Amino acid sequence: MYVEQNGGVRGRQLDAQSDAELIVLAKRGEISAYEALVLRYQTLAFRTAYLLTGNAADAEDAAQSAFLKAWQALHRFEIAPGRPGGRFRRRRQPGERSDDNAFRPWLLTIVANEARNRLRTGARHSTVELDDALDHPEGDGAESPESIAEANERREELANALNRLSERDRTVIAMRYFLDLSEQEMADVLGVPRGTVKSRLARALARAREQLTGTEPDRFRQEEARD
Amino acid sequence: MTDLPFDRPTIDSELDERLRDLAAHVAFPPTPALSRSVINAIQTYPSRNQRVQPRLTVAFILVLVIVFTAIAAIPAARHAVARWIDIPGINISRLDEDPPANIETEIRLGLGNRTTIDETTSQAGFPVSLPADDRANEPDEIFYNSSPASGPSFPPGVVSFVYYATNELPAVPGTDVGLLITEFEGDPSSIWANKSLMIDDDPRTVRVNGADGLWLSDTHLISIQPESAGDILTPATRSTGSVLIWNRDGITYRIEGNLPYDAMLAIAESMEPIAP
Repeated sequence: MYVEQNGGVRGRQLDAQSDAELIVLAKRGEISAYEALVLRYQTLAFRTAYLLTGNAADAEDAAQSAFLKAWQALHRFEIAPGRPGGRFRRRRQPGERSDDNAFRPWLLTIVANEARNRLRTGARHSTVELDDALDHPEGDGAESPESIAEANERREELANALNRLSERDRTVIAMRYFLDLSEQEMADVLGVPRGTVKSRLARALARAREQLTGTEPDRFRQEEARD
Repeated sequence: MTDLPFDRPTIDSELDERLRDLAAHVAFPPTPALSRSVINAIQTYPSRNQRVQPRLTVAFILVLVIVFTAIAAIPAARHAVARWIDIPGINISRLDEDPPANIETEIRLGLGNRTTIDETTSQAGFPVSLPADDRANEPDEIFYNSSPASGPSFPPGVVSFVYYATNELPAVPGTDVGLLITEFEGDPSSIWANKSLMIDDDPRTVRVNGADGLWLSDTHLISIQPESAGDILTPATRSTGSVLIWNRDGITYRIEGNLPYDAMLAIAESMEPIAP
């Protein structure tokens, strides 16, 4: 958090500000306010880019570039009248709700564009292997070693099942569960309508269940062909 | 199939619960300290509403030289600075190697649907401009590309003016087009096209009626975002003529032709909004 890295009274003040308040300050030239926004969203931006690119170096590059581009375009944000401290207004896309116009989804869209651009030119995409990315907690003493081992085994089983999914399925599940993105944010990041996000996630979850139990959700295959 | 909103339990609540538990134990790579590099870059290159007036002292210039030298010594940072030449809505990157052999040779401009000047001024939602320059004051064809079929990342509306080749507007190699003007609301969250420069290409920073711009005199590749959005985009790619791009008052302009820089700049600087 901002206080931990910068400290000081001003740092604590900025850390307590809403996105809207920080944007106002940043537009007035207070770079430390934008720094507070970067600190607030750098982990989400980096992890989103990581899921799309599959490697940390490109993810860092994409996230950094996205923050720079957002800074350059910041002056075009307008605070929506009557909604202090909350939302921003940019030109709405067709079908987009007015209350979706916040800094976070806007930033994530830029991050996704930057990540895709690196995929296009770099061709260095690699798949994120979830079983390699699992930690294996040893517990805090309240649980028995057996139950801890069983829980770890169940997690590995699920991670292995997810690894057997297509990259598209794995990405949509990871964005929903590991990054906790909203439906609209996922639509922005993936560059697809919200309805497509909904159906893609439902199919991906069904296929994850199939991997866990060996059932075959045939009904999804035809629907996906139409997606 | 029933679509489920996120705020309701999924059908498979056991899987939902297991995924939430798994999420708490997935270890992403450590987040790099982006704030430091971002703020350093911002302080080196302020945004347009904060850019310092060009009254640089010798001392300040020396500081900039030192900063750029230091950044150039760090590969990752050098990469970021190279990408800082930015026109909203157009991604520019440099290819590290020769372009792939499977690039489409067919010229696909990806301009959208034919329309008229009257229609496009009402469709666009932003002030559309045309050159007053005699060489290009009346386009032969007008196109409008709107975003619904293109996904949320495409600009809301893209207006293109096509001028056929004439004696005064020599054809872009491989086409019968003398001049192509494209306009849209530029925003970093939407991408109209990706430009891929060859390793030796040297884009030139220019000013167009006081706005920052880029002059790309070398043939390069342009990839217009596809009309059907997907996770990994595979747009149609073609090579271009010389291109001048700039952004003024939130509108990104692109002029492609086969004219020398002075002529292209004259056309660009003669552009005026069309009366609705």
